Amino acid sequence: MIDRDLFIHLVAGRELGGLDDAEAIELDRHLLGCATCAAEERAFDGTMAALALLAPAHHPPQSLQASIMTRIRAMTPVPDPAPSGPVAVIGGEGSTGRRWPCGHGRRP
Amino acid sequence: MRRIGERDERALEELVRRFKRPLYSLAYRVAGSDRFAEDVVQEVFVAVWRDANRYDPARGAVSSWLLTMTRFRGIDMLRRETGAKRRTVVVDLSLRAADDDVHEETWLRTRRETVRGALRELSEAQREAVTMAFFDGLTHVEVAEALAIPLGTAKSRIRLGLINLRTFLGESLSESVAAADGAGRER
Repeated sequence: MIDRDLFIHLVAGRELGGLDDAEAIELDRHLLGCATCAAEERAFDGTMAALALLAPAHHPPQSLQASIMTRIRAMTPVPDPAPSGPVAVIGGEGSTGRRWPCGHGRRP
Repeated sequence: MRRIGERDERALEELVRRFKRPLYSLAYRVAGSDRFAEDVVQEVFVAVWRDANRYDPARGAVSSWLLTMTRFRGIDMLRRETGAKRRTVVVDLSLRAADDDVHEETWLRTRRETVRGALRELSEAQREAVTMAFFDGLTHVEVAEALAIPLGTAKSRIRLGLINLRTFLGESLSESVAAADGAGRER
């Protein structure tokens, strides 16, 4: 069992990538069995996110929102056409009807 | 996030509208150019669309998730594009409210002021070390080299700086997170 002060230091250290392997293993082992400390870790995540808000304001280009939505729509799977009858198919003629890609992003 | 997980484009559009400015500002600050910043923010929202079902509210607020992803991706992009060439200049953290966009949302303006206040409470040395590690993406070793201090001292300053920030922010953290996520809640 590591004491609270040491734990807090380890959590803070990990937030900015400052733990060595032994410290990381010790911290992970502790977090597995301590809900209180796991909650504390989430609070540090919140601290980091709060810090992120201090980036000086910089305006995104007007086109950013549209660019993002265009990319999103290009990822959207196109449903197979019904066997008969007129149907509205997203993507229209020539669509590849590709499937939804597997997600493999990470939870930071 | 549930609606986004159900492929509701309008829900994503709303999320983009709400968070594109703070994410873009962070991406620009970390990655250092408009081109990088735009790529980073696009990648973040593509990841949100792809992995929305992986978001676990128990692990933190949506705003925290987005900002953390943006920072990591910004640092990754900077490293990929610039290789070993790293910025080591301690840049102005812009503690002045004047830099804020007058049109930005109230929650963001309020939150920013709270965090600025907390950061002002840190010692100069801690603030410097934390901001270099956080915004410039420097490793602890690089922070130590840039400041010409022993690695142990750099580690200590960064850890204590974060601990103090956490303490100074205290309860306001959860309140502001709730405000930030307000529009993202399910209707």
